[in-house]
Amino acid sequence: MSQLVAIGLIEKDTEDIIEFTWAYPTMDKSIKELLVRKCPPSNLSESNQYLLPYVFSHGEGFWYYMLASKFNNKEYSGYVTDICFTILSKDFHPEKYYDILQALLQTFLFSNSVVTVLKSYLSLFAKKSLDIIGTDKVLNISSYDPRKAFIACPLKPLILQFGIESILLYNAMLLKCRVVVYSSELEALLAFTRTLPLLALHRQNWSIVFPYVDLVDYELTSLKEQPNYVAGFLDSSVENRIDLYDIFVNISSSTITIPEHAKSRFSLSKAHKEIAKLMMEVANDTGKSDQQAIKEINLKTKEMITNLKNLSIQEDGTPGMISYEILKQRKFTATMSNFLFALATVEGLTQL
Amino acid sequence: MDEVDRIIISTLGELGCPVDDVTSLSDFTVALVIEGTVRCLTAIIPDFNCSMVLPNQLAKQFRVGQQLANSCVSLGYRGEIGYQTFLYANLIEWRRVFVFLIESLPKAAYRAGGDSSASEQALLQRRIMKALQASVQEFDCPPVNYLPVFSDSKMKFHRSTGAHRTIPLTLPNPDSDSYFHKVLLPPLCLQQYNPGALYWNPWCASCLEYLSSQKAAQLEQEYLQLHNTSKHGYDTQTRRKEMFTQKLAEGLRHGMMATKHENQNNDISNSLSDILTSFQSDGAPLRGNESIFQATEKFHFSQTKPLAPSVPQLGASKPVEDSRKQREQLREELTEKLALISQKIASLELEISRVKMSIGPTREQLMLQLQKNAENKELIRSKKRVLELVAGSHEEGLENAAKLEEVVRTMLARIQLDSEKWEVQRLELYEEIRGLRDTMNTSKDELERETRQLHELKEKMRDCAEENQVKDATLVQLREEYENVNKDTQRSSYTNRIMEILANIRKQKKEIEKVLSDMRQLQKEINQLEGKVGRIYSLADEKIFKAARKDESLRDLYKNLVTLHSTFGNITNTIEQTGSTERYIKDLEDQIDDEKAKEVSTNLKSMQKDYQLLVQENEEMQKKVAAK
Repeated sequence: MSQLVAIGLIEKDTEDIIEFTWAYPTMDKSIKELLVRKCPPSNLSESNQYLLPYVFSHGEGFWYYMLASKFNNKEYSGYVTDICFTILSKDFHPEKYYDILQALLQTFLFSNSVVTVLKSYLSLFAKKSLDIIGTDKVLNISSYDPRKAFIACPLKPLILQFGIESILLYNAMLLKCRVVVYSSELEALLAFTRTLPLLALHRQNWSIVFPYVDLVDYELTSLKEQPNYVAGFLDSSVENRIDLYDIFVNISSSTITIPEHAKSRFSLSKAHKEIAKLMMEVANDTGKSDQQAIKEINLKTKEMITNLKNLSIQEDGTPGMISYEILKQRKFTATMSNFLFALATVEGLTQL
Repeated sequence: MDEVDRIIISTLGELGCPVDDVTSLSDFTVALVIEGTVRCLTAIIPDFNCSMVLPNQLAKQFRVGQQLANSCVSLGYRGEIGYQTFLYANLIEWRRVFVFLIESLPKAAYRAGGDSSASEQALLQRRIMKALQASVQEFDCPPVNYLPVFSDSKMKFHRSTGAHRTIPLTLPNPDSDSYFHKVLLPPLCLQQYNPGALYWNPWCASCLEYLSSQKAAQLEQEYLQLHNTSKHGYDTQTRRKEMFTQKLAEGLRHGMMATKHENQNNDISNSLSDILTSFQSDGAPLRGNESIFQATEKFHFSQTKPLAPSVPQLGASKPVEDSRKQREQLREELTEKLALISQKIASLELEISRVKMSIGPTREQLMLQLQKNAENKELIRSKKRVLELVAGSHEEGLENAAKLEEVVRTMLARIQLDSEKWEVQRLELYEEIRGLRDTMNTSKDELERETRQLHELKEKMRDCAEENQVKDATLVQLREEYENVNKDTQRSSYTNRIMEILANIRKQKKEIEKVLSDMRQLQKEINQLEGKVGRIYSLADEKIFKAARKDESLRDLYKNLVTLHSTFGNITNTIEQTGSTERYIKDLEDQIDDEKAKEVSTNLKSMQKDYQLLVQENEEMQKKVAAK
């Protein structure tokens, strides 16, 4: 499986020291530090429980998935209290990697040795399948459809949570804005950030999602290099970092804030009203499944884009480039034309 | 008693009473007694105010006496005391009062009167100290006329010839690089400035000037640093220049205002250059960048102007009009240019915003392209390798494929072996690390504990050392005091006498106890004998009575026995009575002696006299009041 990059083991001992103790093939020191910082044993809640035993996020060009559990085997080591397996890979599929990590964890607990884990990992690599210890089952990579990862978290609750303001989220995703999400709970954060790109399904780009970022220079510099992203933070002081976002979403309080410098991109027009109406309809309709809702929104978006393309048709019938003049000819309102021009730029339909 | 009297007299003398003629308490007069009490009370009670002389009027005398008595009571004197104690009392009571007062005197009163020589010494020392302090506080500048001069390494004082002249000093500098400055240059005083001018002493004045200039520079720098604002970013030099020019401009402006220069403008700017320009009559600009020659040229020309007054006057208006037109033209051109430029700016801004908008998507496209490139490269590489392997014929391809599989298998096996070995090592090492960390932590804890203990011990040591020092100091002090105090030997004699008296008292006590025990013994014997006698008599009485009933001759015997018993009984009674009366007599005699000592009769007489006097005075006063 060419998507797998590396696997590693993080241990926490009786002195509360968390270390990266084993990796295959290799991992950079900076990535190791990042993983140690993000792993569940490092982030304990007030009652000394894991915030979330399974954490995934995106950074340094890799998706990393971590599964932690308590460990109490004196044969292996008298000092280790928690272990956490992490996998680095290039693709986004939390459910697949969750199953893989579970299986690897089981083999480790069974055999008390990392060698068997390595064997299983290599078999994954070569045979694209994994024998699950303790059962006769076999985990097959091919049974995991990448597209299912996109729709694993439902969109309707998101729209219902923010109501009519979810049009701002739609606008942000469509116009490729920088979105910063804050939540006090990690689970909600991970779920929310991976759902947002569904609003711009026609691009099918989940590499802009950074579900779990800390306000640390190391991570922020690589984040800032991205032109647009959906980044999730557990630290509420990120709201003060206006330089990091064009729109700020607070899941805990269900509020959306837009800073001054980005207000021009969020001026809503008639098209927005239509889409907002559609979104509310679709979300409130209990008869429709989530997939259907997503499809309808996607259809509408595609319609809008094809309309835009058709605004400028060259002599041979193919759609040409959009420019301000063409929009002025159609006598759209100022906000409408601004929006359409921005959309066109984002879709690559404009020319200087 | 003599000792007590002597002590009383000596302490009263120390307090200041005139007791030179008095040797014992019996020589004390009422006035002396009162003066003594008043002095004692002033020493004891801080705010006690009373005249030492007894007033003439009896009433006042009584009042004074009562006041003194009250004060004594307030101090805690137990015993009867009143105005009569001071005015009419006897020696015993005076003695008691004085003893009480002297015991209540604070120790300072003793010391204050103590060694008269020591107090004089202390006073002298204090006076000297004050004089020295005063002289040090005055700033005494050495008389300028008398300045030291070193000649032949001896310091002589010479008169200077008048004005202070300073010279630049060459200070020897051990840090400098030059050998001369470091080693050769002699100290300042030995540097002969001018051998011929031995009588001209520049050193003091030069030193003063050098040091004061350094101090002034330092103060100035501090002031400038304080007032230096960061936004100007000036260094001290430019700031100094600024301040200097400002001051100069102000001064000149004030001067100008004072003299009312005619050719000046009404509003004078603060800038120095403007002020200076206003000085020039033709309003020509300041020299500035011109060279000296150009300036002088101008000066020359300005001077020659008045020679041809007529010609410039006529043509004066024309050049003014021309210049005005020129200026207007310039203005128009400039406004046109401004409009053009602002247009350009607007258009450029539009372009900028457009370009900015397109940056985003182009960047994205770039990134996508880069990603695709990387992936394609990988693909190409792997495909190339595969092609190489599969290059030849079908069999070769199969062989290569088999070989590749072998290689992969061996690699996997090796990986496994290595990972097993590494696993063992890794576990060992991590256990070691964690074990060592544990021991390190425990040893750290122990270390902390021990350092804490050490600190505590050190502090204790320090405290003990401080206490030790304090105690040493007090020891030295007390020793000094002991040596100072140990001059009079009377105390030891007093103590010796006290010890003797105590021994005597003890002996007397023993003797008294002996006597008492003898007396008790006697009394016991008497009682026993009395008892015996009684019993014998009763027995005899019975027997003889019985016998007498039978035999009549024994009746006489019986009668004799009875009379014998009764007469002896009388004798013993009378002896007892005489003993008791003798004791009574002794008591009365003692009482008589006591009363005699109280001198009650004389006091009564004087009191009667005083009473009559008082009555007379009252009558007189009543008459006076009635007369008013």
